[in-house]
Amino acid sequence: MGGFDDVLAAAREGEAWALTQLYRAIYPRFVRYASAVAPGDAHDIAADAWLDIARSLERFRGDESAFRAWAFTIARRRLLDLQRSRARRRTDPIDPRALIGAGDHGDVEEDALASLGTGWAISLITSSLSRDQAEVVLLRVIGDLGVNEVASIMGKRPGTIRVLQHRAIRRLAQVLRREGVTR
Amino acid sequence: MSRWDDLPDAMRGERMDDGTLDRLLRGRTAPDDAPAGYSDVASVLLAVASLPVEEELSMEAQHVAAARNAMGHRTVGRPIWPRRTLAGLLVAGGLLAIPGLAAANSLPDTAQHAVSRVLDKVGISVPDTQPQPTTSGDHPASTGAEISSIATTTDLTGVAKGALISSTASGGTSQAGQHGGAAIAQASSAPVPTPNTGGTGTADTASGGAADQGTVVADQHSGGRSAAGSGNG
Repeated sequence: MGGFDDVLAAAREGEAWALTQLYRAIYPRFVRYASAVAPGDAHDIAADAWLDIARSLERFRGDESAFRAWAFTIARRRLLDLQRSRARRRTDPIDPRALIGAGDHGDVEEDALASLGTGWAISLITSSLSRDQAEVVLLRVIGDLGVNEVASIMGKRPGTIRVLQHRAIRRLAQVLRREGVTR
Repeated sequence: MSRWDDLPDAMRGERMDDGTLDRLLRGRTAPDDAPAGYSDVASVLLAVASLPVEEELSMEAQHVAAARNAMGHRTVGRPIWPRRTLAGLLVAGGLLAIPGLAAANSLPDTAQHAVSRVLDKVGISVPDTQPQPTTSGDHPASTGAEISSIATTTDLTGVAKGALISSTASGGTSQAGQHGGAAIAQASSAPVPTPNTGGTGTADTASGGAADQGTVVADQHSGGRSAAGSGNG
């Protein structure tokens, strides 16, 4: 996204081409991030987050990296809102947050091994790692964010994020080796 | 004895350096370039960070339009406030232009008269054009004072005086008295009722009562057959 400042300025003026560039830069990431927690509502959550960003665009200050971090802060807030609202609904059979870090889901992994698609990869991460480990990996990979940015979004210290990501990668390697796909 | 999640020898006891881990977590490490035992991890992370697929962007047009609406930009590339500003400028310009046109006596007669009267109340003098009557139903041009003056100062008498007053009061539309001579000539004939007294009333009202003198005189001299003061309604 070259000339980020120009794109941002034009987007603030409502220029469709600039908003389209911002949309392409963040919306698909939102969908993937949200699908890790609430697969059935990923597009709705991403759309709400996108509109929140559009409404707040005038107040944003910073570069492209800061923009991604700011955008994911908004998207994460949307996810947490959804989880809280679902937690209040007695008819909700499963807290989506429980999908992350729920432990071994052998069937899911075996089915997903048939395809190395994005959905399968996200499912593998969410089913193999603890909730915090999965969120760190997803924010770093999907959001293209650094340690400090992820720490800020999750409200943790950078050192904690480094520990979490090291453990997450080792855990992923172990799971994949167990599944017999190690090359 | 080996557990299911034991790491290969190359991975055991080693901690990946931060630079390698950073590249891996940004989805920028090809499986073949990954450290030993992490090639599949690299494949998974590459898949997560892959380019957007068509399905993920299928609502792009609608979402961009919704964002523009949320931001208050309802017309493509043209925010609302310039139109409001333009309308305000046009109204303000119009209000400023009217006195100028009035001063130059460039407005239509009716508008010129109206603007002149309004500005006159605030001490601004601009030319005034008295609107001209356009139909026979308009009020006569002459004032009551003028009619009264004619009635009390003219040397004319009888039909001629009544005709002058009636004609003046009616703005020239009355024909009263024009047949006064014939009426006098026919004085021996049976009296002819005055067909219309409306003009008399108009002249009387306009002149404050003085205008009917001519009508009365004309009526007396014509034996009641004069039409003076009539027909100007």
